[in-house]
Amino acid sequence: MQNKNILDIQSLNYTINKKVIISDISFNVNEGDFISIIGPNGSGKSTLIKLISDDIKADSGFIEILGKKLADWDPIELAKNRAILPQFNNLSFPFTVIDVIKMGRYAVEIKENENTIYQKLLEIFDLNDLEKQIYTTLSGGEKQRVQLARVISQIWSDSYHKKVLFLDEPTAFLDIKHQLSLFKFLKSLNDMGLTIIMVIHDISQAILHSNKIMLMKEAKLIDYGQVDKIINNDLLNEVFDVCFDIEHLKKNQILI
Amino acid sequence: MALYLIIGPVKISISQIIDIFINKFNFFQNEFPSYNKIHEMVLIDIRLPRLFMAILVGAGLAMSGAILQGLFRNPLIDPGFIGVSSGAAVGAMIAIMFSQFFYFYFNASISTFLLPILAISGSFTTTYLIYKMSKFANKTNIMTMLLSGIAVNALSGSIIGLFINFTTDLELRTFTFWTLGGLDSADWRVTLIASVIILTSISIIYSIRKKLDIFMLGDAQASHLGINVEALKKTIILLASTIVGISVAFCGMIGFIGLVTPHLIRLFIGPKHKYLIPGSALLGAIILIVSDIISKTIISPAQLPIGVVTSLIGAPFFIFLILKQKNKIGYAE
Repeated sequence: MQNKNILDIQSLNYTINKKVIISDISFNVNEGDFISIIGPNGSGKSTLIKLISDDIKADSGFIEILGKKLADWDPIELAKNRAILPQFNNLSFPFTVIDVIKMGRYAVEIKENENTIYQKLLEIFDLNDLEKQIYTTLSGGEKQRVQLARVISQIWSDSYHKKVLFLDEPTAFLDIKHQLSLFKFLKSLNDMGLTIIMVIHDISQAILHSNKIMLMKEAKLIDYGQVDKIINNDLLNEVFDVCFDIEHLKKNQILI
Repeated sequence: MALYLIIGPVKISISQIIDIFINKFNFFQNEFPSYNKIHEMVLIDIRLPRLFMAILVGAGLAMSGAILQGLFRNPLIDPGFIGVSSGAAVGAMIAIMFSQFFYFYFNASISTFLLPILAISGSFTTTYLIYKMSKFANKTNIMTMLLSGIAVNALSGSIIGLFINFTTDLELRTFTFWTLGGLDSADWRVTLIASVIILTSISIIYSIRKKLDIFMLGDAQASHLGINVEALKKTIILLASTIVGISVAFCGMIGFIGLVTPHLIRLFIGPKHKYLIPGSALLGAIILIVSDIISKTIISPAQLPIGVVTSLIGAPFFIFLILKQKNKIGYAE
């Protein structure tokens, strides 16, 4: 099972109004990888996630997920093995927190111990006191935690092999305590075999939690590989156009 | 419901109603019935079908309001937004203007259904146009749909305005009363047609209740969870326009039920379609029955158009609710 291909992307292109958003991107993701996609604003990170999620169609290129072309997947089968947290989640109807989380389990056919799962998720995302609250009345951070719980509930199972999770800025609106507990939880899922690909802006957290980093700039994939290989001053300075001190970044992570 | 059957220009008492039913279904023959032929005719051929029609149309309009508010993810949407009513109005206008002409060429039985047929064709045409306009790259853009709905509604309005220039006073009066709605056309034939179509639609809507809930999360989110979003949108539009189309065709435009009813249910029971759909159907039916009782009694023996009643009660009640509840539930800005 080691090094099995979870995601195979080849020469992906996407343009809007002649503006190139994704330019000839190819890469492979192995099972059990925890990948952080980093890059400046407008570098195409979220668009890449949307293309892989089938929210938008690429102009050209090839996406294979879990060994099958994206277009060939049955929607329900795919939903059982692949969950996505989009960057923006607008829910304007007054559902309760627990109702929103339960929606995540739509594709799951055999439903047993469902309540135990929901209780665990409420605990993990610190939502115990909010279970019966109306979603629309929550704060930004609380909403984000509900959406995370919903997305995780979709793929919750005993084994996470051959399952993949895409997260577009999962830490958005979260305070530091919830950011840390989120990463701790994601790491535990990753240890159980879940493949995770996330877009994130905090480089020190990307270094700390993921095993591989994908560096994007101006619609292109600049570099992709093991954290140590990617994270060096020259490359980061070039991509982000600021002066980095990697040693400092690495010291920061120890503090956390 | 019993009240509904009692009230009207011909007074029928509860004991008479029971007698009529007992005799009608041959439980036993009463040799000295407490009612006469007129009572029986009024009850069986006028009030009963009209009661069923009120239930069907009230439930149908409320439910299509509920699913359309879901489609647009906006609690202030009315079935009118997908152009059903305005298209039907153009169809009705044509039917009324050319009724002489049609009477001349077709036999009478077709002519009775002329207005409903033209109205429902009109409503499907406009809805289809709006749906097609909002398609982009194989996806339906809901925002574009809202805008094209407004544009098509305006266009229909101007077409009607144009036609009005060529109508006689009587035709204009017929048209005006049609736009205000009424259950007068409800005989058994009409009620049967409406019940087959509306009940089928209602059961389909109830069977997709879970999908409708998840659809509220957003297009992308719903499709990530395994829902075929485009098929669902098509289903919602088709079901809503069928229900509203058939209601408008037979009963004219009955305002406010589609907007207010689901809103009320969401305020008091919540937005889950498992409760929203049957709740809206029930409340919609009740509202329309009560409105029809009011419309028949308030200026009796004449009657007020039912659309006037629903809007007259609905609008102030809705304003009151918005003012009272606006802090309770934070619909997203």
